[in-house]
Amino acid sequence: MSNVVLKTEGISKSFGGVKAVQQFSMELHEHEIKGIIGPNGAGKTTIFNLLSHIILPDEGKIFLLGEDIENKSQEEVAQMGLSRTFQSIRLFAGLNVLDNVKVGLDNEGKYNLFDAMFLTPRRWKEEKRIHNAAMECLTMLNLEKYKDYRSNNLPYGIQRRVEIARAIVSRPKILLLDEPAAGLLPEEVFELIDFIRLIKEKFELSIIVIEHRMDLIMNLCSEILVQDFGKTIACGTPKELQCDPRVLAAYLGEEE
Amino acid sequence: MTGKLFIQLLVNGISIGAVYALIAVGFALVFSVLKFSNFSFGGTISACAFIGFFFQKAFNQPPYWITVLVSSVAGVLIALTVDLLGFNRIRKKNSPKIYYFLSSVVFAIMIEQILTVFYGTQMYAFPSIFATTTLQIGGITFSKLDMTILAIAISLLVILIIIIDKTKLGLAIRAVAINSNTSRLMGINSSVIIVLTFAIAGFLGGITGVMLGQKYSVYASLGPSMMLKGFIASVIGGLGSLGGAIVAAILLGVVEIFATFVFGAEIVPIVLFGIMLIFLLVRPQGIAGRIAEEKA
Amino acid sequence: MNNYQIGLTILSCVSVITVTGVYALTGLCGMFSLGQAAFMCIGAYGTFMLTRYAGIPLIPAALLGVLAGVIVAWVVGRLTLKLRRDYFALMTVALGQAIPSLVVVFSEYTNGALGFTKIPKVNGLIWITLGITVLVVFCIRNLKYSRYGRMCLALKTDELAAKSFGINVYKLKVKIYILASAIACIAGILFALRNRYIDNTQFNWALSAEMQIFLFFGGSNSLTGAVVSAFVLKMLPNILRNVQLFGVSMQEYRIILYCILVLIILNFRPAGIMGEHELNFRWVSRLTAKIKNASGRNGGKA
Repeated sequence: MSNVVLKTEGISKSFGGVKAVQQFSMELHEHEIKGIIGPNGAGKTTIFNLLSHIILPDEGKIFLLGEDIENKSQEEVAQMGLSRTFQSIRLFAGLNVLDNVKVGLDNEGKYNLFDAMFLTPRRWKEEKRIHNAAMECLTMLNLEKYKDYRSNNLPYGIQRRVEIARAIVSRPKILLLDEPAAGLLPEEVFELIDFIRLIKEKFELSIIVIEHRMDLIMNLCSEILVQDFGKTIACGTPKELQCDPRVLAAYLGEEE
Repeated sequence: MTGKLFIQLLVNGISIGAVYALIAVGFALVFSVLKFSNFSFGGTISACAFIGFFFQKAFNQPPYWITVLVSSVAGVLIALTVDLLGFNRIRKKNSPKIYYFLSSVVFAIMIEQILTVFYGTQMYAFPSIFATTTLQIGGITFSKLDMTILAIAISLLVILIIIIDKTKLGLAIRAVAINSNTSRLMGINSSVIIVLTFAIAGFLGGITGVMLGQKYSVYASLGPSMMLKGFIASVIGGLGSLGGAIVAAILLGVVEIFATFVFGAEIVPIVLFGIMLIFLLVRPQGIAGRIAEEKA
Repeated sequence: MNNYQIGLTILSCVSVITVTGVYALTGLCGMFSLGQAAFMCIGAYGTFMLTRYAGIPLIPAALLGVLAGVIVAWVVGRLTLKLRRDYFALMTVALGQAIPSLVVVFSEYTNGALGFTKIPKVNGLIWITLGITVLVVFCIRNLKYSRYGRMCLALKTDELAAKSFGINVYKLKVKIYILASAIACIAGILFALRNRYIDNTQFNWALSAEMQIFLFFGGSNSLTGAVVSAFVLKMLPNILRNVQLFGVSMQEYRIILYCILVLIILNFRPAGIMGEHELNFRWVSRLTAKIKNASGRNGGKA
């Protein structure tokens, strides 16, 4: 078995009286694509927010690359190599596609405010490196023709891909995809499946994906967790789950 | 400091604090509904102080309550005009918060400048309303003005809290404060509620203008400088919380009166700034304990 | 140029410097400060208290004056920038009132409301001012097109998303606030050198608000727009000072006029006059090419 890159031990989170996530445990292995499915309000996005430390768990532990992240901020978790996308596209509207992707690299840029203001050689060198890395990433994902566009002028499917490009340009170990196929046309979904496979290979990623579209989940994931009302009600390979009555019940209601 | 003087200062402080509470509440109401700091409120206060002053002069000492009424109506009208010209389109276009900020600042500065162009920067003394200006209770001298201000401010605050807590209008305001889009789906006309909130704030601004004008005399930058105290009170009270703002405003009034007595009036802005810094350091969630966090 | 024109140019340059700082703060980072005049005050008083009472030469004193502003900005920024943006805006208003009253409290040294006049004369101030203006605009322009500029614009649009790329939003905001405040300090020193007189009322909140108005007039997303509008709007009412309306000179009601202009802009073109456009070399060369083309065609016809 390959290495575990992300592991949670019984994490829980409540908002007021609502138990959004209860005792969630899982292990994500290197180069694995894991899926999380479940009806609306099952706590899927909350799990992502907990993993990326946007919110902190009430109990339980999260280990990222073997390290407990309890005392890390959201930024530090990101710096450790956990990257994510958001359910609603959150590209930076004020920047063009290339600059959006560069933001993914900027925090690690090795020049300071002084270099930036006075255009020192270090600034030129680093900017060139950032530019090349961003362009390389865009080219790899066939997005280079959109580089000068404002993100809000692009078709939805392209925006999704740009958002993913921005998330992986800094070569994270783990990528969390929150409903990447939301709002896409059926044929776009198939393109997206190939796209996710492509980035997984090229960027050596381990991926967790939340999705409603069963075709995407069933095609991509080696293991699927089914969430309902904050609890994990089932877990298994796509084949095992396809006929699982608990899953059908959660999605379609109890059968009489 | 003698006991008598202490009590006198304390009452003074509470009375001026009650006026700050009116400002703070007007500010906190708009903040809770629209989530931005309405600087134009200071301009409204100045303008209303002038309107009250000229009304009082023009009609040769009409009954006090009429002056208050006129300037509060003026306050409502100004607030509604500001909303119409400054915020209405921005709101419809769902523009970033920073435009609200700018728009409200522009109105504050514009009203102050208009008043300055027409009336200069000098101070106009409000004609005194009471024949005898002091009142003796238990051997302690109180100013009648302070007592009237205190009475009006406290009763207004009580009425306002009843409106917010007990009436349907209050419920609607609280609902819009939590989420204006959801409220709209629940059948509340959010835009009407927002306009009404502005009107209430303007009403408070009008009354505050007259009372501050009487106490400190009328001048163009009266509103903006007083408004700051209302702001500070609502920050210390916890942004958007009415109860916290009132408590903080009264505390602020007391601190200010004592600081002025001991160190002189110039020190007051520095003391207020210091209090604000310390509060943000020690208890950023304010007296009310509800931290106003930006939504993720 | 006569003395009046020189003085006016210096004043307009001071306006450009402060608005450039405000551009970094508000245009790039989305932080709304109404207390930048307080930093002009700190810079001016800090510097000339030192030259007057400690006998320190002008340049080291000016550096110390800027340092004082940096320290104040660091303290205020550290305390408020972790909280939501409204706290920061209100805090800067409070700061804007506290600093000028500090001048009055220490009247013994500052001469309070009567004004402080012991300011050394500097020869060729116009060249120094122009030099500093160009340098400041150059630096902020470079800042915009660097990793810092991109990170600032990112955090302005979406703080949460910015954090998910490892950007320490809080630290970045503190840095930019300190930078903008240091720039305001420099502007304050030049302002004092130009007038050779300072008092507490010059640095009131109307001055801070004016900077924001200039910025949004030109376009809060365009450095070019901000610089041009800061220069022109400061210059114009002085040129038109003899124009009268209702028996009041233009100087008096310029702010009212600007307020109306900005309101119109806010309502109908919220991105400002320049929108997001910047004047750059490519744009200039394209324009000259166009002109050449046009003239070439005309020449052909003739």
